[in-house]
Amino acid sequence: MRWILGIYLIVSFGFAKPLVIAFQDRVVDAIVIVAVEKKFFEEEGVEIAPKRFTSGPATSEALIFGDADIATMGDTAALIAVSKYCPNVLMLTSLGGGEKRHGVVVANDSNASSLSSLIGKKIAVKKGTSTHGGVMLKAKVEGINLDKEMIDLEPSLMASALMAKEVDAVIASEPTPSVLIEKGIGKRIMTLDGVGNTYPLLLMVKEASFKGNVSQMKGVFKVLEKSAQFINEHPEQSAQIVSNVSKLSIAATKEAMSYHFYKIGWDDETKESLSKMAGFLYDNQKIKALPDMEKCIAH
Amino acid sequence: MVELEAKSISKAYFLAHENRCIVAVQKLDFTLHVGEFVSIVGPSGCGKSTLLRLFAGFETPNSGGVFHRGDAVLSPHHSRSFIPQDSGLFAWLSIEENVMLPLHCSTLSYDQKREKALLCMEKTGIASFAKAYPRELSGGMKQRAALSRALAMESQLILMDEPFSALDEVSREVIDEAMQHFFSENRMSVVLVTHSIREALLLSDRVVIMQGLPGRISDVIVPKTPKEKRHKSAEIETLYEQIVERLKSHV
Amino acid sequence: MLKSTAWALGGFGAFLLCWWLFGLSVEAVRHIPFPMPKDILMRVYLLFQGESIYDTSLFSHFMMSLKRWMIAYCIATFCGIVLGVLCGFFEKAYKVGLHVSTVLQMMPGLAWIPFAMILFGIGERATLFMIAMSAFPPIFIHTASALRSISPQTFLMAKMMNLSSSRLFFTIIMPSIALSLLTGLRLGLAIGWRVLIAAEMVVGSSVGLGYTIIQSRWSLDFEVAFISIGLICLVGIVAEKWIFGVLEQKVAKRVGNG
Repeated sequence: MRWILGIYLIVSFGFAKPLVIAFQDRVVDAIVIVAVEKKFFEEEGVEIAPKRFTSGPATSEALIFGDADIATMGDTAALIAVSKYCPNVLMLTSLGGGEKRHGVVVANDSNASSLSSLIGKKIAVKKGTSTHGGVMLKAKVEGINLDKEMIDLEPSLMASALMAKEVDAVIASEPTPSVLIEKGIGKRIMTLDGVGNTYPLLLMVKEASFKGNVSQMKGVFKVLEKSAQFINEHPEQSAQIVSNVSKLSIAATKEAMSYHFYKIGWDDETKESLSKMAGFLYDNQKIKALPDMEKCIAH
Repeated sequence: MVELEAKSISKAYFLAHENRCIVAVQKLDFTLHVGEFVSIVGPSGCGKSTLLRLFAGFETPNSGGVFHRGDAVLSPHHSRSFIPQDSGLFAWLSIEENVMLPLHCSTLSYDQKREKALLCMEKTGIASFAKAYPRELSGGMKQRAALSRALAMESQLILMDEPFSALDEVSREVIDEAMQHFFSENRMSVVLVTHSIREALLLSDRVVIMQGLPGRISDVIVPKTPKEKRHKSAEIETLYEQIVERLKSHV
Repeated sequence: MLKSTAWALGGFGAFLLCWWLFGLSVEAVRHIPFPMPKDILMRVYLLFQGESIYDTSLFSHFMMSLKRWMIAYCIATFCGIVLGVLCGFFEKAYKVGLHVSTVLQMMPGLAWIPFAMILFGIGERATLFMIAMSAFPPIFIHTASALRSISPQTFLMAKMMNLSSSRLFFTIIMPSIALSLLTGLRLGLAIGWRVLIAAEMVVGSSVGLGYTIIQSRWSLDFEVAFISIGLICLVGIVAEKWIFGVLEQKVAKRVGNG
C-alpha cells in the first residue's frame, strides 16, 4: 500500500504541471517581475512557468485561449475578459494600481496643456487597454469626446510617431511616458487621475485552474504579498530588478514606479473603480454585458 | 526587269549550346524577274526558309547581298510581303481588320481603306468572310486572307513559306488551282518555298532545287507546258519524277 | 436552374451544419464559446441596423479597406505594366527585373511592416506601400514574360506592314500579352487584398476590415472578426471569379485561345 501511495505522490509532485503565469514586462507588473526574479515562488514551493508579454490584451489572450493558468492585466482588459467569459475566467486579486499611472505626453514645443487642447489633433493610444478606458473616462469628465482624435498605436511605436510629429500626443501607461521624457522626446502635460479610478492591475485566473490547484493558488497569494512587501521596503532594489527585466534605465523605472502603488487584495476603492469602468465601457458599447463583480471574483 | 537578285549570299548560325556554326546558305546566287513565279524545293533543313527570310529582309546575310529592284534589302519592307506557314494573321483581328492593318499609315480615309481591303478580299475570294476571325477559317482561306493583305500593301514581291503545308491533299489541289488562276491574273512576282513538288510544277515558271549543308542551288527546272494545261500533263509527271530522283540523291 | 439553386442551398445548409457541429466540438473541448451561425447572422443584422464596430459602421470599414486596396492596386498595376513592358523589351533588364520581382514575391505581407514604417512612418502611405509591393511582382512578371515570349517574327511582320510604334503597341503587343497580363493582374489583386489585413495594422486610423480583425482579437469580439473575414472572402470571390473570370473568358475568346 505504501509503495502505491509513494508512486502516487511521486507522480503528483514529480510530474505535476507547473502553473503557467502570463505577465507583462512592464513597470505595472513589478510584483510578479520581482517575485519571479527573486525566486519567491520556488521558496514557497510553488512551481511556475512564467511567460512574458508586452500588454494586457496579450496576457488576456494567453489566459483565455492559451495555456496560461493565471495572468496579470489592467482593468479594461480584465473587464472585457470577464464580461464575455465569466465564470470560465475569474478575477483573483488586485495587485495595486495607480491613479496617475497613465500619462499624456506631447512634443516639447507643443502648446497643449490639457485634453481639451488636443481636440482636432492626433492622439496615439493603445486601444482596448486600461489607458484607453482612462482616456475616455477623463474626456467624459471634462465634457469632451476624443474618439475621432485617437489613433490605435502600439506603445513601442509611440516614440517614433511623436518624434516624427505623426501624432500630436501620446497617452500611455508607465513606463512609456517616463521613457519619452527621459529621452527628451516629449513632456508630460497631465495624467488621467481625478476620475475616481485607481486603474488597478488585476490577477486573473482560469476557473478550471483555480479549482484544480487550490493549494498552489494559496502559495501564489503568499508569494505576491511577499513581493509587494519587498517592493515597498526595498524600492531601489526593486527598481533595479524591474529595470533589468524591462531593459529601461534605472531612472525611468524609478520615475515610473513612483506613479504606482503595490498592494495585494481587494478593497472598496478598487471594486468601485472596476464597477465605474465597467459601467463606462458598457455605456460606450465596448462590452456587451455588465459583469457581476461578485460572481466574477474567485473565492 | 529584275525583281529580286541575290549575289553570292551566305548565312551561318552559331549554335551556343553546341559551340559550333552551321552554314545555312553558302555563296548562293538567285535572280527573279518581274512577274515571275519561282518555287524552291529541297529536303528539310536545306536552307529554303532561311533563303526566303533573307529575301524578305527578316535576316541579313553574313556576306553577299540581296537586292530588290536594285535597292539593297536590309530590313522588312511593305514592298516585299512575307507570308509565313501560319499565314501571319492576328487572331484578335477580323479578316477585314487584318487586311486593313498595313493601310493604317496611309492617307486614305477609313472608308477608303475599308473599300480597298474589301476589293483585295474579293480578288482572293474571301470577301464574304470579312467579319470572321482567323480561327473560324480553314488553312487555305487564311492564306488567301494573307494574300489579300499582301495585295492591300501593294507589295511588288510575294514571298511564301510553305503556305499550304497544313492542308490535306484534296484541299491543297483545290487551293493550288485557285492560286494558279490568281497569280496568272495578277502577274505578281512570287517566290514560293514548298515541300510539294507537284504544287511547285503547277504554279511556277521555274522550279529551283536546293540541297543542304550548306544550302545551295543544285538545279533549276523550267516546265514548258503552259500553266493552264499543266494539270495532269505528261511533261509535269516526267519532271516530277526527275525532281524526286534528284532530291533522293541529295538526302 | 431550379436544380442548381437547390444544390446551392443544400450546399450552404451543409456548410452551416458543419460550422455548428465544429463550434460545438470547440466549446466542448476548449470551454470557450465559439461564434455560431445564429450569432453571426444576428450580429450582421444588428450591424446593418446601424450598430458600430469600434466607433465606425461596418460599411465605412468596408469602404475604407476597398478604397485603400484600389489605390494601391492601381499603383501596382501602373508600375507593373510600365516596368514589365520596358523590361520585356530589353533582355538584361528583363533578367534583373525577374530576379528582383521573384525575391519580392517571396516576402510575406507582414515582413513589409518595418520597411514601410521606416520609409513612410505610420499612416496611409505605409499601408498603400505594403499592398502595392505585394501586388506588383505578379503583374510585372506576367507582363515582362509575356512580352519576351512574343515571337520576333511578329515584330518583323509589323515592320513589314509599316506599323507605327503606337499601332504596334496597342494593336499587336497588348492583345498578344492580354491573357498573361490578366493572369498577373488577377494574382496581384488577390495577393494585395490578402495583405490588406497586415497592412491595416500600421495604418493608425482605426478604420478598415483588417483593423477590425486585429482589434477583435484584443476586444474578444470574434463575431466581428468572422464577419470581416467573410466580407474579405466575398470581395475576393467577386473580384477573382466574377470580374476576372468573366474578363479572362472574353479575352481568351477574342485572342483566339477560347
